[in-house]
Amino acid sequence: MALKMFDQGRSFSPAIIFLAILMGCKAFYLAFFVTPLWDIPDEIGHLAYVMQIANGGGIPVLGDAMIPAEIMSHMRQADSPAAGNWIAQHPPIYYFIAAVPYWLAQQFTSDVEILYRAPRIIASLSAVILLLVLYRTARLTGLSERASLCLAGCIGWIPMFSHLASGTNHDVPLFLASALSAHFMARFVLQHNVRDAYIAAIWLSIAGAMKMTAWVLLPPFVFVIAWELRGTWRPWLAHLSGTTAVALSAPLVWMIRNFFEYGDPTYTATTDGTWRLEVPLQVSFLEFLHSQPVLEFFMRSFYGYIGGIGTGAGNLTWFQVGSLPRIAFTMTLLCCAAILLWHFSTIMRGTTLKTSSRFAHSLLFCRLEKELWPFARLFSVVAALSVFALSAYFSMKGDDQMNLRLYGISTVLALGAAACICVVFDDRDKHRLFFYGLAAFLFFSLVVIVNIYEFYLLDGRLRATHGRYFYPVVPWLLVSLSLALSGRVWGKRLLMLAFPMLVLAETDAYINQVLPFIGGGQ
Amino acid sequence: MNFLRILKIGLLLIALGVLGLFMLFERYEPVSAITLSNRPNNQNSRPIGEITTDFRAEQLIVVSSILGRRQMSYDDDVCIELLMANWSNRQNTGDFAVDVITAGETFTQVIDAASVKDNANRRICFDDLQFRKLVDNDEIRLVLRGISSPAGAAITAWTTTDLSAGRLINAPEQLASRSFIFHFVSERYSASSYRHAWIIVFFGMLAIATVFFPSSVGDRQEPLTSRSDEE
Repeated sequence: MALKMFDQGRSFSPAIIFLAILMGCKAFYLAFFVTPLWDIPDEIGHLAYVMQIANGGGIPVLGDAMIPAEIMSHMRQADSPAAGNWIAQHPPIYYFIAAVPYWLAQQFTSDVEILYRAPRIIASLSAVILLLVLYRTARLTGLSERASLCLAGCIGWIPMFSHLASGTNHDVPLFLASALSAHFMARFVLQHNVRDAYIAAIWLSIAGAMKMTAWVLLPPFVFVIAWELRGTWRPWLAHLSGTTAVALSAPLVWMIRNFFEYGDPTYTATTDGTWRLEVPLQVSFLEFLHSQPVLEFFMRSFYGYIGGIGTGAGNLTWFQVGSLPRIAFTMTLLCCAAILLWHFSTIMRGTTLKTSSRFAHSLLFCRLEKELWPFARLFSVVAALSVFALSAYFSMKGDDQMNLRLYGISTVLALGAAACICVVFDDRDKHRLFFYGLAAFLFFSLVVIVNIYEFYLLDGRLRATHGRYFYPVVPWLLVSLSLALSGRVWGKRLLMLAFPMLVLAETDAYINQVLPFIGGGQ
Repeated sequence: MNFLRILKIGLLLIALGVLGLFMLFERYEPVSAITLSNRPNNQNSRPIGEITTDFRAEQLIVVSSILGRRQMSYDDDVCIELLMANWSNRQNTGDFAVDVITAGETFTQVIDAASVKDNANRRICFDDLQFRKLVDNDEIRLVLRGISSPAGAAITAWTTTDLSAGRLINAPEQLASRSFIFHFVSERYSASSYRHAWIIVFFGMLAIATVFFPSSVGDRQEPLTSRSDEE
């Protein structure tokens, strides 16, 4: 037994079980008594998908799939015809699961106020399990019970997360599947048990069968497995192929289905859409970052983007949670960035270079790492400073020179750039795991932002800057944060401050901003 | 369980109770503002000038073109939110008035200039101005007039070149193609909102209490040791 992980005894402390139940009660209460129907992003489309599966209609086909007139009329509070369902672009796993409570509810009631809310249970339950998974992952990295509880709780008491946990949507279940994948990947990196790599691959595959956003994590995942596998080339190749095949399996099935259905494996609602601009904009990526509040919108909507088309009876009505709660979030984000930076610099000072049993490592360096490391270290510092300068400078707008959120997220992105280099050299498992989280976050962010940029060129407007898109990679970043905090007494104290602060912030956001916005809820 | 422990738990529960009550009494917002119309965009924004004693600005609004489809009762009261400014928080004095003039009635609200915040929407509600009185009139007028504020101590309102909510009339040439930046809202009190607030605060306080739960393994943080540390 090489890994001292505090796994002995009870798996979950009474406190985290209580907190998870509390999360479930909160999400359930919000789902059935507070959050108005259709105020969750795209809820009409998600529910129509669920209903089609529950009623035996099979997986909807984009273009043919419709949102029934009964939903449209309920949403608009007036007779309305059926409308096209763009949500049919998503893979079906979540909808199969959410169809179960809908089907069961159908057996007992025909009241649409209950029926339409029934699938919301899945997101609420996912939030409960997610807290337990995040807790276990934090414990795995060496955080104490109380600190792990606080770290998991910090996610559970973000207004956007609570809002989504009370609605019919696939983002919270996706978060859960991604967190499970990250958990087993962390176990694999720390324990070198190849079974964990396969379990991580299964969960990543499931995540990819919920939403295509999770596919972005496939390259970092395959890299981690390739870099971590031990032994000679035969088991290396066998397990790398095996885990990659498992991780790719569900996405591949969806691609094949899309190919036969549409002739395009990655077909979505925007693939052959007509764009607003006849001539695409001629704007460089940096000009785009400079002119549009991309990172700022992502962060604001990550914390709280409340509303939809329910409160406005068909008109899009929403707001971003602001004021004191957002200040609390900004402070937490800034603290996290500072902790990651501190831990990174500590690692850089004490990097160990040893002969490794990792196949890819030995293949790449042939014992040259000691000669290369000084250059690599210098290069990683230059890379980090460059990314920070570019991100901070090009994201600042007008009067936003002191936007601390941007400094915080720019620091995390910059550390990701340095991590891409350092991860190749460091021989300590926990150090590499720390680097993987940061590097994956940078990779994921770049892919998402470039995607948004391409939409912007064609549409001329900044669209789809939703913080929830980052849910698949947040567990990876939390692993890095846990590692940075573990073993530090002040780390636990900081979390014990941050969690109650975020709870108060969310409570304040709900009673001072959300409830007035939704008119007391339904 | 010894006395000290009971005392600690008791104090913690009292502290959380007080915190919860503080949030409910100080932070709970009972009024919901339902937005009834879209606000014109801030385009080439410019202050209308000081709203001093003889000042008057009037805007014609075509109601049917700005009110969206909303779940409204005809008896709901209507307010207006007007983007105003106080010249970088200077001390302003005197009063000004905001009128909404329909075909048969004039609704007036007199406001203390000192109460206007800088670059913020000022919600102005009128006695007996119900939703039906807006929709029954296709054209209404929004008037901003000074009463007793002297020059150098008067507030102002922002204008825009976005004319989607109408335009200023009988105005000097430099303001002719401009509009106030405003939108209509309806205030509502929801009985269920207070119950929701209680329950959400209760959940929050219980969540904070979990931080103080006793740990099952002594809550120690031990240095993480992985295989590479022992190789």
